[in-house]
Amino acid sequence: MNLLSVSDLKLYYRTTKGVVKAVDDVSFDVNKGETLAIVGESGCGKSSLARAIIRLLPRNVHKYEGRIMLNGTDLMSMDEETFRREVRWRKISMVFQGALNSLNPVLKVGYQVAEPLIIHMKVNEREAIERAKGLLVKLGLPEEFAERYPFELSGGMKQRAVIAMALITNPDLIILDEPTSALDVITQANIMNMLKELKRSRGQTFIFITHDISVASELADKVATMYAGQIVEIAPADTFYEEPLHPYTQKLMKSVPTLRREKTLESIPGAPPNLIDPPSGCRFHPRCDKAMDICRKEDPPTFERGHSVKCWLYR
Amino acid sequence: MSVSEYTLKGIFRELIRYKSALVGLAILVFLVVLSLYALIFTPYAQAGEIWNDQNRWLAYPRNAAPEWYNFFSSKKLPPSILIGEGLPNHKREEAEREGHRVITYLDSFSYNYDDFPSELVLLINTTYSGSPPTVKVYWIKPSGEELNLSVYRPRNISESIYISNNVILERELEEYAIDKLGFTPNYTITIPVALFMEYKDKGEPTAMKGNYNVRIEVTLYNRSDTFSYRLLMHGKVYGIAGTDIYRRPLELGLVWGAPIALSFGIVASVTITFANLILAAISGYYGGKIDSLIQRLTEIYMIIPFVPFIVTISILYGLDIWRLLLIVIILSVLGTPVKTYRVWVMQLKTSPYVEAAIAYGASNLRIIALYILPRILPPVVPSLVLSIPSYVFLEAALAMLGLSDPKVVSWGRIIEEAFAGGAVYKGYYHWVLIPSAMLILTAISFALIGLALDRIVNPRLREM
Repeated sequence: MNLLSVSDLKLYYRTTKGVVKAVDDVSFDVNKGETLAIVGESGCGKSSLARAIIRLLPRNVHKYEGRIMLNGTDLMSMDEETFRREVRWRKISMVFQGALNSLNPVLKVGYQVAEPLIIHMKVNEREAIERAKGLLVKLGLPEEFAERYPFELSGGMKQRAVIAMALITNPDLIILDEPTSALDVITQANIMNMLKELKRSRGQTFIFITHDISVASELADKVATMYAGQIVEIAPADTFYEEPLHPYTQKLMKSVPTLRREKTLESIPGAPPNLIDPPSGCRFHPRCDKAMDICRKEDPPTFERGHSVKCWLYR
Repeated sequence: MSVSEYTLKGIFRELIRYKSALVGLAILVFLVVLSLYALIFTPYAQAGEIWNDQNRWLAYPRNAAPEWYNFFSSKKLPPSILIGEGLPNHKREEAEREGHRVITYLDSFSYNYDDFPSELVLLINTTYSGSPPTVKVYWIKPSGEELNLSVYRPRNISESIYISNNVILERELEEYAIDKLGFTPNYTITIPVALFMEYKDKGEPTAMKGNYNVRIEVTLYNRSDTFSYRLLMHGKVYGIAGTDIYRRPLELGLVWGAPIALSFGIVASVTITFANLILAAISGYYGGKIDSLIQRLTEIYMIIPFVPFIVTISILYGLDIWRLLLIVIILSVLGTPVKTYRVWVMQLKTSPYVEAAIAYGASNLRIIALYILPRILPPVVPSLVLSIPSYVFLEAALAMLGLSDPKVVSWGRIIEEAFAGGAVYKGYYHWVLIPSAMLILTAISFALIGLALDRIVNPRLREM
C-alpha cells in the first residue's frame, strides 16, 4: 500500500538571474515500511525535493505545485497552519542536512528531543523529557546525555539526538537528508546500523537522501536517481545496483570506489546543468556518451523496463 | 567536562575571579544595602515631603562639613553641642524670692575645638498663667569672666530663641571683646566668636579651650508654671556627609537618592535593552513590511535629538520622575541597537537549527524566544550593564538643568540645589562633591561589572 504518493511535483525558485527549476515534474511512490533512497550529485535538487515534501519553502518560491498524497490525504490542499499542526512531525519528520548544526546550542539535548512532543502532542514537559530519555537510550545514547548541551556531544551523538527528535512523535515517514555525510565512516556505520534496526523493529518508512550510493545500498529498498531536478530512474535496490539502466546511473555506479581491487574510477565529464536554463531534450545529453539525435530534441518520457527509467535508449 | 561554567552560578563564579568585578560588585552591594535601608528603615514614602519641609531641620547646623573633615584638617571644627535638662553636667536650684519661684540652672561643658560654633539657640518649653517667665542667661568662660547674654521672655509654649541673632547683644559683646583685646581686629566679632574667643593678637580669632559654664536664672510668676530648656550650639561638622544651606543632613538625602538612582538606571536600561531586542527580533525574523516599518521608524528615532527633546517635554509638562523615565524609555525603544541586533537575528534565522525548529513546527514566538534571543543575549547583557550608569547620569543631568521632580530626593537634585546655593563659590565643597562621588561610584560599579562580564561572555576579549 502506498504511504506516500508524489506526482508531478514542481518546485521553482525565483532568483535575480531567472527561475531555478529545482524540482521539475517528479513522481514516485513510497510503500509503508519501505525505504526509498534518492541519490544524485550535489545541486540536482535532492534537498529541494525533501523540502517540497515537508513544505519547508524559502521565501523566493516561484512555483510550487503537483500532488502529494499521504495515506490518502492530499497535503497540497492544506493551508500552512493546518499543515504545520497536522503534518509536520506528526506524520512526516525530517533529519536535516548538516544535522550537527540542527540542535539549538542553548537548549539541553533532552529538552530539545522532547520539544516536538511538547509542541505537537501537548505532553507535559517532564513526561516529554522522560520519553525523550527513553528514546535516546534506545538509540544508544546514555541517559545522562539528555542533561547536556549540544556542544558537549560528538558528531555521532548529535546525529543520534537529531534522529531521536525525528522519531519521538512516531511519524509515518521520516526524511533523512544526508544524515551521515558529515560523519567519519565508523560513526556512519553505527548510525546506518541503528537506522536499519529502526526499519526492522518499527517498520519505519524512510526517504533517504544521499549522494553516497554505497551508503544508500545499506538501507534502501528502492533507489531513485535524480538528475537536474528530475528523477531519471527508480528501481528496486537489487536491480539498481546490479543492472542500472540509465546511462547516468551507470556512470554513477562506476564512480564508486571498491575496496582492495584495482579499478579505474570513472568520473562524468562536465558539471550538472544550470537549472535556470536546462539543456533541451534530455537534460543529461551533453554529458552522455550514448546520446542520440532525439536526446537533443525531445525530453524522454518515463519508460517501464522492469522498472521506470527516463531515457530514449529504452524506447 | 561540566556545564556549570555556563549556568548563572558559573558565570557568577567566573565573574568574581576578576578583581575589578569584585570591587564593582562590592560597590553595588553597598548601593543596594543603602537603598534597602532607605526603603525599610526611613519613611521613604514621604521622603520628598520631609526633605522639602524646612521646619523639620531646625535642630541641624547650617552648612556643616562632614565629621571626617576633622581627620584631614589641623584646625578642629566643633560638632553641635547640646546642653540643658536631662543631659550630663546639669544642676538645678530652686529658691523663693519676692513671692516668685526662681530656678537657677548651671550647665557645664568642655570645649576643645579650634573653630567656633555657628549659632546658639535656646530651646524653651514652658507653660504659664499670667506673665511669661523671665529668663536670664549668663555665660562663664574658662578664664572665669562672666558675660550677660541678656534677658528673654518666651511667650509661646515652645520657643526657639536665636541668641546668636541678637543684634544688641552682638554689639555689646563686640565692644567688650575689643576692650579685652585692646585693639579693633580686622575680623568681625559675631556672638559665637565673642563667647568662645581667646584674647590674643592674631590675624584670626582663636577659640579658648576648657570648661565653659552656662547659668540660667528663670523667674516663674505662678506656682503652677513649668519651664524646661536646652541650649543648642550648632557646630560646623555634622554626620557623614554634612548638611546643606537649609540644614538638611545630606547623608539622609544620599540614602534617599540611592533607590532613585538605581531604579531609574536599571529600569531604563533593562526595559530599553529588551524592547530593542524584541523589536529587532521581530524586525529581523519576520522581515518584509514589518521589517521595513521598524527600520524606517528606527531611522526617524535616530535623528530625533534626544536630550533637547526630553528637555522640551519636561519644561512643557513638568514631569515627575516616573513619567520622565517613561519618556526616556519611549524615546529609546527604537534606538541604534535595533539595527545591530536585527543583523544578528537575520544571521541566526538562517542557521540550521532554526530551520529545523521551523520544520518540526515550533511557533514563531517559540523560535524567537527560545532559539534566537538566547543566542544574542550574551553580548547584549554586558552592554545592558554598561548602559545603566548613563541613565543614572541622564537623570542627574536633567536635574542639573532644573528638570528634576521636586517631590523626589535624587542625587542630581542635591547637586542642582548645591549649584543654586552657590556651594562651590562659598566653599561648601562637600555639598557638591559627595553626591557627585555617589554618582561616580555607581557608574564605576556598573562599568567594572559590565567590562568583566564582557570578557566572560565574549571570550575573544580575554586574550586582549
